[in-house]
Amino acid sequence: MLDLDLASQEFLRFEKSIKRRGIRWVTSRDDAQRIRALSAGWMKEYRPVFESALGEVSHVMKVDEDVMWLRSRADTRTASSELCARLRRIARIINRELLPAYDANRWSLASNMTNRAEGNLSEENRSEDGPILSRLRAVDVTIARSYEQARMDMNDPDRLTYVGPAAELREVLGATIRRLSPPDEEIAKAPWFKGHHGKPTQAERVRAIMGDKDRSAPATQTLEIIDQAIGSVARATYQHASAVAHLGKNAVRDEVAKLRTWVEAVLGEILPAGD
Amino acid sequence: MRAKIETDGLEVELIGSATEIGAVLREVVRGGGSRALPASSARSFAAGDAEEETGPAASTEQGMNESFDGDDEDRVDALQFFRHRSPTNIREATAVAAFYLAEIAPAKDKSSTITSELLGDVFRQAQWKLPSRMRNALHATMKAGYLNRVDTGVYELSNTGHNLVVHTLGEG
Repeated sequence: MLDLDLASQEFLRFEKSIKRRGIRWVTSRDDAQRIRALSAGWMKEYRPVFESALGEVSHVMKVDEDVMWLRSRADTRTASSELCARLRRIARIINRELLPAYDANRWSLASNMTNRAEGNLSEENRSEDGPILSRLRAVDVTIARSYEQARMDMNDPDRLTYVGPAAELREVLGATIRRLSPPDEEIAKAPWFKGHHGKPTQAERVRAIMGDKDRSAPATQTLEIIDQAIGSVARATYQHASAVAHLGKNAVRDEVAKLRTWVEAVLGEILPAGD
Repeated sequence: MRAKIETDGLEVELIGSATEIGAVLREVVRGGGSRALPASSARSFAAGDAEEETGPAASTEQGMNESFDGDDEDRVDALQFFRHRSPTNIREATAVAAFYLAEIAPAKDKSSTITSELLGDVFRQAQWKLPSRMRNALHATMKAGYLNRVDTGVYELSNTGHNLVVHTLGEG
């Protein structure tokens, strides 16, 4: 059984072993083998799991860069301080960015299942529109229309790009959060308020809507991966045009579909339950 | 306990103990051509048949509250269950352990709630690496949205946690 929590620990264990030996240069054959094993472990075991769940997000690519550098040093005399810094950075990205994002993705999938099951309990929600659309309509018809448009655009196979629906989905989420959250002054009085330039962050607004730190934790974590995913869709469209041409538009549509899963999971948490 | 089966286009509801229903289902399946709709998701896991999990979430809810007392030969132990569900980190493994205790474990071990001690027991049986602090694993799993806190140090599987184990895990 694969344990993703171990991914970063393997890099940190190697860093500790270098430090314990107090060497200035890493040259031994054992170390070279360990570097190869770590690189292979990332590329063959951990990376595919992260990538299939999150897409080619920037953090996966950052780890790729460092791992490729690491691999290139396998047979080369390398300063231990430089190697240790890279190992720590890889572990930090995995721990602070990838694992929370991965968790948020898995939570979104399971949470959407819960929303759908709850939606099925109500006659009105049993339509093809799904529970989120009817709950959105009850809150704000204009936002609901925007959500509907984004969904239609996502399903349109003739679109040349999918940056538009991705951005619209984010707007739907942002507008819903602003619509449902208490006034800024009220949030600013909360003991946990930190804010950004004096205004509540989206995560703080979600916490204010849900009223409980633990309950809102998965939803606020998901907000972060949504921002990353928007970047990923744009990057796939503009920077890797050749890759998109090679893989086909479906690769980008898949990214937007993931984004929709995450947006709907957060909406499912913050929208008032349907009757 | 209730269970529904479909046979020759007819939907038949069975009422009785799990053992009695299990015996009827076995006979029907042996006869071929019919598809059982288990009232309890525990039943489908115990039979080790992932394909049986397609019923709506509402039908699996019933299983949450019922004790599976079927034949031991059908029972899936913690190690098999973990292999089948393939959790990918400790939060998911803890959710799987909570589900196992609530739905799959032998009647004497069954528990609708999970504590550090129970989690440790299931992890040992499942050969999952033990964390340094079991309590942290439970708290992290609650923060991930898969457990609800019932009391200090006592948790139960949330609906999202249930859906994670039943619908998301083991798909790959």
